[in-house]
Amino acid sequence: MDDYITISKVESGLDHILSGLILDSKITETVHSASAVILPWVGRPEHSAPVFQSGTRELYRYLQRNIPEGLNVEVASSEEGYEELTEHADLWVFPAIFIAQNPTAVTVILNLLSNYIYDRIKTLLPGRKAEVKIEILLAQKNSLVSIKYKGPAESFEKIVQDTVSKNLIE
Amino acid sequence: MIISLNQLIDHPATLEEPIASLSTYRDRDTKYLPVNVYEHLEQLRKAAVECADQDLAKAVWCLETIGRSQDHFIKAFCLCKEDHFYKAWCELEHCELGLRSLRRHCEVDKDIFGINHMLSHVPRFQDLFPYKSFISPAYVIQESKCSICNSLFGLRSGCNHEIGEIYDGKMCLRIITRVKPLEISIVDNPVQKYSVLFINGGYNYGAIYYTIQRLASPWHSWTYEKVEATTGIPLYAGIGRNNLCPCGSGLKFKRCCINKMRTHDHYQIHFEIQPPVELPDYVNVENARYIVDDRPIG
Repeated sequence: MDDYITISKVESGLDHILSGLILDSKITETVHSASAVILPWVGRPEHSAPVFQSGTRELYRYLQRNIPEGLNVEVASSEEGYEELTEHADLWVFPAIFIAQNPTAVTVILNLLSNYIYDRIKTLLPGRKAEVKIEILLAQKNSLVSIKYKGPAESFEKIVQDTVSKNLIE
Repeated sequence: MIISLNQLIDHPATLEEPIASLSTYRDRDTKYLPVNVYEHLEQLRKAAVECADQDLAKAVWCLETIGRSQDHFIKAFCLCKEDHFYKAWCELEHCELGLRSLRRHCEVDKDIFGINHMLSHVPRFQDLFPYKSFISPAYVIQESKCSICNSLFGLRSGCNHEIGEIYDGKMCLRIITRVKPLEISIVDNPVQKYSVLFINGGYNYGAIYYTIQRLASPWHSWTYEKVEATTGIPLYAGIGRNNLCPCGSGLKFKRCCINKMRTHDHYQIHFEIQPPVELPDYVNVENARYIVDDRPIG
């Protein structure tokens, strides 16, 4: 189980992450009030602009459709600057997701992610396996906890939920 | 809405004819579904859309996808018989994609139309192919469109069609209209299986050739076990690791020629229907080599 998880403390908050992105004031405001924020990948040598993992738009819309009232999810991007990156391998790479300091939001978002992955697993042919890669950033008082998962798709739900429940409360 | 194939068979009566055609798959060892079946399905789809019957349109899509998957599976089998292994590999990929789409929208609750056979045998055939390295691109998608309504896919703007969903009996796909290529890599688990890295001199298709030659029909079942077998020069057979090496070096076997004993993947294939008697029921390492250079031209 430990082979699939990397936990680290990030001595900064969402503000610091967003400061590297060019977002208009309306988007910034929406993002700051969101229960969960989908983040881009910055710093690819061949493409300096922030870029989102392929399928982010579909994941965003899935979360929006299924998130309960009172919670909301946003993407840290303007409409014009939104681009997706497709990569080589048949690895299900999800974008990094920041989740606000709200136990309900954490539980709901993780359950929705698990369901999203499960729906994809169901389409695999018998005997075929898939691997998932994702980073979840949990807000704490003055910092963030980064939980990176790279492992079997079918183990995502149990391993990540166990890890998050241990790291949720400071 | 998830379609149940059982419900599909019993209802509605309008689908009776294509269902009967799809059920003949076992009689079609080398023949594809007649074109008029697809034409009929297209007429049914249009009629369903006109009546705003989205469930019926989706059921028609399911039947068409089953038919196409059967055709790809049969075609892959025939191409292997003719030594066109790479083309067969591509057909298996098409079949796999069809079956995966089907599993998203349709519950296969009993073995009809050969779906369960294809689900189990496509991965088996793929496993016997020698391809281990693939060329795979990375790129940034800067603009894409919806295949259903042709509107631009924006993050928050654009249509509400979902990629992979069925609308009016057609699957919503993403049409990429502007990209920035970044790099090409060599990978072992590509998104696109067709992107095989071809090597000079061709690949050894021994395992797939052996299996295909012993199957009279793509619909005959078989299983395989993969074991690690040792290949060695007879001189080294039965030598213990700490014995003196038979080559006369004076060193222990483990410090000398032990690496001349090599291991390789060995497939034990079990056929449901016994292969023709004129074919040997085993192959040794030498005649398991079946090298074919079938690189695509152009």
